[in-house]
Amino acid sequence: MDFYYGLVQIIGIHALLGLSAYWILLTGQISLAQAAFFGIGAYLAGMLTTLWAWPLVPALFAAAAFSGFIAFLVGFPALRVKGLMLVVATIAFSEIVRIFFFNLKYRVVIDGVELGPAGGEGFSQIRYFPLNGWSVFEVMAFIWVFVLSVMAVLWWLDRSRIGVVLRAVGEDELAAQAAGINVTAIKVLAMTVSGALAGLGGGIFAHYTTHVEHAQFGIVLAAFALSYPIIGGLSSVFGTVLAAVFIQGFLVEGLRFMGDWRSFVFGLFIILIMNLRPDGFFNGRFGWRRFGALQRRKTEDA
Amino acid sequence: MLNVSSLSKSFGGIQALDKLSFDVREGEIHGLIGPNGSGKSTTVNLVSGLFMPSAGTVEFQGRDITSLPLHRRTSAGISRTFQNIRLFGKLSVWKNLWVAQQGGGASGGFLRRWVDGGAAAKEEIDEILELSSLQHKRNVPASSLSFGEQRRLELARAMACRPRLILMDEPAAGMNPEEIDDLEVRIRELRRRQVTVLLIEHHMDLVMSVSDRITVLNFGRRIAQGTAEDIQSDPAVQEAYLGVAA
Repeated sequence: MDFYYGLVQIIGIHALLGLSAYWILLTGQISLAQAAFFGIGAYLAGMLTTLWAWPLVPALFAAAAFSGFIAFLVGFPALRVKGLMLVVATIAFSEIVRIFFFNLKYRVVIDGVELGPAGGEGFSQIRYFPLNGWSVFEVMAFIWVFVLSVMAVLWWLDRSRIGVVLRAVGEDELAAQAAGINVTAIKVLAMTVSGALAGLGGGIFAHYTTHVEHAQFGIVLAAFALSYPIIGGLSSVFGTVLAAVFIQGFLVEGLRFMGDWRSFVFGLFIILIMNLRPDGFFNGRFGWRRFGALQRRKTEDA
Repeated sequence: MLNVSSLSKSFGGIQALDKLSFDVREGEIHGLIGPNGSGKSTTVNLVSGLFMPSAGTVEFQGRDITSLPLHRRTSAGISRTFQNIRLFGKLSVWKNLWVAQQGGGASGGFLRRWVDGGAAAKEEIDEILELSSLQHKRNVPASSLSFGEQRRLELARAMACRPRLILMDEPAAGMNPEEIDDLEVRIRELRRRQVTVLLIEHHMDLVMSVSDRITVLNFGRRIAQGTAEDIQSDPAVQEAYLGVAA
């Protein structure tokens, strides 16, 4: 049973990461910095609870706030560039953050044990959950309280004018400006919120795995983060969360029996989705209209 | 109301506008015409804030707005439509207007303004939809509208910003005669609602019949300004359009 609880935990963490990417993707910005914000949150929350004995919830909020602040700072210069240039800029930022953690050594002796980030060896013994006697089930429930709260807030914002403004910016920046929207402010705001969400997810992740290191927060994680809203579609938060369930639960864990072929199937699946349902696999009405359209086109050609 | 004085703009080596000055009076429909490449669109883009001028000033309601960015000019009361229609295609017709309203300073506190704009704002959107004959399409995505409906929606969106002045960049482009007649009615309706209009257009029948005053450009300079009769009898205008020495 614990295996499934653990799986539900990691799905929840990835759902948070996916939701952070969803929120910035609504404005049409493709950011590969989410893994970096996730890493910042992971390291900060871990240090707060293990080195300075913070309670977990304040540590998570502090990690979210700090990641959000970094995202805010990065947002100004980064969002001046668009499209592929933004992708390159955010990859560069992620690498800076990764190298920073690779070099971060801050060891403190607590109760005779040396703890803290140890450079390339990573940061071990983030043992808040076991030390406080949390069961696997409790940790799972704790994670999903955050996931569901974030989903509820984003769902509500999405239906308010804020969501519509974000989508308007994503569709046509010039028209959005002509409609009186301060496009730069909206993009930086969305980046800040998405940075905070990624930081929250990272903070939870650090306590879930008890060991974090720089290599976890690289381009692969950033690609995962972006794949959730792309596969889930941008019609609502549910698509992103469903995509996280599907990818983590089915493609990553479910296909484990395929060994090395797993990545192959995974990649094939992404390509298929891009072609068959370009607006996202879980997007909006669950029709197969595109298949229908393909069929029609074939018969017309013939 | 709108005062443009010695406005210049060059793109690389091309002088698109050369010390252009003209004024638009409160409540009028002002036509802006000229042969292709005479600087009409550049003028609209400078007045709406899409580009910054190389020299000169733009004054709106007695306030210098030369360096204001596009979105701030919208909230100051200048909205515009585009020559090539720019809508939020995936958003519904209603949401296209809802988005625009926040720039125009919707009623209520900060949070209210952001979250939904309040009941009065929604009523106003419904009114604009009715005026634009788009009410039956309120929930369909903007991209699924017909060409004429998209033009109407773009004008409706400009109206949702609560403007004092609307800049229309070739609104009749690609329209058939019936649609142009309909457009003329809508432009007159704007004036009835005390919205000033700056109309850039190639369809001379429309411009001549609807405009109170007309400014004519050629090679980035103003060559004439006045009523439709004045313009039609102006030798410089005839030369610019017909290439005949007067």
